[in-house]
Amino acid sequence: MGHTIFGKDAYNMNFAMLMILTAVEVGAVASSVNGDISEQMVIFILVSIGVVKFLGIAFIFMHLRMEPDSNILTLTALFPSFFILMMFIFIAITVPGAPDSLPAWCRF
Amino acid sequence: MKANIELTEERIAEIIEEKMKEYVVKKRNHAPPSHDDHHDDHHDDHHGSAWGPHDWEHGAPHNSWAPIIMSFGFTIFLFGFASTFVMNDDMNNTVYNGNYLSMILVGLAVICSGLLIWWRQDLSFDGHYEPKSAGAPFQNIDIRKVGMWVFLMSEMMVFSSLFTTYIRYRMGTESCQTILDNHATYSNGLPFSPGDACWVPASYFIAGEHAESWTLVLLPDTLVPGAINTFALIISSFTVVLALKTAKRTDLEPTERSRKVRNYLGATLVLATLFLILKMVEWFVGFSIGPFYAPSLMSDGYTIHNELYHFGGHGGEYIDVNLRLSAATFFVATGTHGAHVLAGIIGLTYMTYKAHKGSYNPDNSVSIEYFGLYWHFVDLVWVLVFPAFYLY
Repeated sequence: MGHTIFGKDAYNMNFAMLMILTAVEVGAVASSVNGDISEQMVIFILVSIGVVKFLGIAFIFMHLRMEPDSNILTLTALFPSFFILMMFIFIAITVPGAPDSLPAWCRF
Repeated sequence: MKANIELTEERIAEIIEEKMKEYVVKKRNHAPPSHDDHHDDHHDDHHGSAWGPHDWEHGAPHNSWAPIIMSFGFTIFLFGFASTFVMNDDMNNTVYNGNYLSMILVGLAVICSGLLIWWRQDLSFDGHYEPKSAGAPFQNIDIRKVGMWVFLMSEMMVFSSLFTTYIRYRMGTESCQTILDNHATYSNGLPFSPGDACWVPASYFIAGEHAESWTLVLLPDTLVPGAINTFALIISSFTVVLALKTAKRTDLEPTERSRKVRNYLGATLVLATLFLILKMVEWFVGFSIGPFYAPSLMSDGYTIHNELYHFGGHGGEYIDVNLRLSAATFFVATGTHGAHVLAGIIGLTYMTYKAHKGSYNPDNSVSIEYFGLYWHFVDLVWVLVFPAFYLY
């Protein structure tokens, strides 16, 4: 439990980082609504910050790093990635109307 | 002075007792099973019943009907639920069909009986014996920890399917704003008819131009509940971490330690409850407090039944759009997340009570750790839900 980042308690540092990044997220959207930054820039900021926050919570709060059993548990957590990837490729980013060409037994 | 000596003696006795328990646990976990152990585990009356309380003094239980019974219960319940509340022929409203109500009740009864068996088997567990996993690739990792991660894997699949659905529909459905900008014409040149489906994101109502009141200047008032919720969940993740750290501290007196653990878990409970309350305010109630004003999504017309939403109007031009697709993906995804928060609140209530009774100590704090994994996962999902559904 005594892990550190830059000499400070890892949990405290992670918490501070999450709070700051969330404030940046909200600020980016507010700037976008006010017309200060473009929508593409907002998407980039939201995705980038989302990834960093995701990793901060998974690695530090959920102990997927810095613990003796971290590696195998990380692999366990990544196990569904294959199926998630399949879903994203074959469902999420398919063209509109693609399901219409599926055979009847695939559809309701 | 005398009181101090008595206290010290008490503490020494407590330390000796804790160390003895620790020794017994270590010995049990690391010693190779003897012929007698093997005999005990598999052949005589020490072997726990698959229906009733288990004898934890003789190893981890590996027999229980509870999961299978509960799986059947959930199957019956969900089938009955889906058959009781069905869509009408026009697919625009829910119809109640009472013929399958008994199936819902039977399903709930079977689930409860499974829970009862589970509870009876776990009742004898005093928290001092942590069974280790024996099978590859999880050797010597706490078996409950492995179980929690396998559960979280299935949860990842659930939320991934919701996100996949969202991305698919969002990418495959033309934006209502684009159609409006093209004077009620699709980008392929076809005319838009009133009641056609197009995409109005939830962020249009929450963080977009539709928001009327901007008391904080930078943020529309409608975004305030979601923003507070985001910070509340992050803070609650941190308070769970603090509860676990405190429960593991050996330099605190037991009463002081229990009080702090209870307070941290209680703070987590309060924040989780705040999250759900604000969610309900945002969906159904809205608020008008001083200069702050935010109508609910429902009163704004963002519902799964709205097939003729009056979109636009700022420049006088508008189109009547079908919101069902957009609203359904929003409410299902955020509602599923809210259901997980509710489950967390139930667990936290029990754990806060347990901490109040002084049941958590450095030898027995793994429950907080495993609950923390679940709670961090709920936070993790929100990290993706918030920007995807509320901000973009």
